[in-house]
Amino acid sequence: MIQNKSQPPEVLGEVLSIVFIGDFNPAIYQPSWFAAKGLMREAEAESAQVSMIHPEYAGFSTDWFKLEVTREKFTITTTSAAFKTRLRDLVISAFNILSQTPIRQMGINFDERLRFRSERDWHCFGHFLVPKTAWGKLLDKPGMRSVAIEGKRNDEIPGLIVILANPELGAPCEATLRANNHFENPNTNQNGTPYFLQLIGENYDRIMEESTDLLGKLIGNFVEQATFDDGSAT
Amino acid sequence: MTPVVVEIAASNDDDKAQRSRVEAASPRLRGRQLDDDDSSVLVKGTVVRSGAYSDFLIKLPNSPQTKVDSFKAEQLFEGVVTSVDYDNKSFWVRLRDLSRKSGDEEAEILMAEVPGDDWPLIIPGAIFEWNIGREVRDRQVRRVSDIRFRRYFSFSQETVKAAEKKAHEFAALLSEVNDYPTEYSS
Repeated sequence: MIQNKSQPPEVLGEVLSIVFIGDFNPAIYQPSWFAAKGLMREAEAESAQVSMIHPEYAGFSTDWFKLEVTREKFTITTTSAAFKTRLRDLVISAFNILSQTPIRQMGINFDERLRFRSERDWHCFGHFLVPKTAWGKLLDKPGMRSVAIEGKRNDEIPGLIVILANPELGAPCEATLRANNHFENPNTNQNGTPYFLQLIGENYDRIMEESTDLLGKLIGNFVEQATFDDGSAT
Repeated sequence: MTPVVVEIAASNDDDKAQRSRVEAASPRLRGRQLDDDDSSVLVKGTVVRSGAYSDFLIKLPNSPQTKVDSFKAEQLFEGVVTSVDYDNKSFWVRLRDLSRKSGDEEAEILMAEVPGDDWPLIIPGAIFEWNIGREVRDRQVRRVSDIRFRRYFSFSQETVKAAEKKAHEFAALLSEVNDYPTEYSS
């Protein structure tokens, strides 16, 4: 066990994303389509950076969002909470038009990239999330690569919350936390798209706020803890 | 057929979409070993080489990141257009400061402050967000002010219910006032 007075880590950046799992036609999701439907500014569509538009994959990015679509997955991402409302609006309006798209699952995710004040704090965060005594009996110098903890939702909505944490191995003292709000279509006999759109429309702001609070509390609990199980004898 | 892995480099030189060349037996496609990197997208397809069909997997490079690396909001307003003055090319708005949760304010904004693509959206009742903050782009930091009209808007059920409740309270209050005897009532 080691003692450490940890400092709150610096938040380097945040990522908000909405992910759908379903059946998609990637070739539709071009900047020009979004502009033609009035969902995006023409100028933004014209200046979008397109990596590929193909029947199997579509990917492009603008100033403030990145979109990737495969046959099975739709992912839209933005790097600032200031853009969360427009992200929500874009997704709802796009799939109001593409309402026949079958969507089976949805994830509303909030990521934070953290930089700890010292390498000791960084290691202690790993010990905080995954105490090492049990692992020390099996492995030499165990270290946390990744952890995912799932919990039930405390609202009435069927789904899960999964908190993921992993250190950035290429960047010492950095780690990424994710709050993944996972939702399934409760009625598999019907297309889930209207259900998911309504869920987003009514709960997105609250879910994002709660996700931010959840990660904040996790970090707060870490900072309050003074003793960490690094697998060494007391 | 053994899957052949090729890599297509994304080109950012022009604005047009990269078209897949997977159906062609292109010498520019190079076979590479798959690695553990799961950050790229795997796309399945078929390539014709010398008349024979081969299944292949394309490992696509990561799509470009957003041009804005990060944006730190310092002030965020939600506004609604109350009137438009086409002669002066300006519009009046009611603003709510969401970052400080202070009361509503009224202001006049020049249309020149709004990108031209949003001008057709400037009508009474239109809702917009006004973000003021620090943007990091290509390692450059600059302060930006961005007015963006919402292209989709609908009230959530919770908002509608709250508004209905408030409406009922006001209706009850007005009804009480109308019934309350005053020295002027006969």
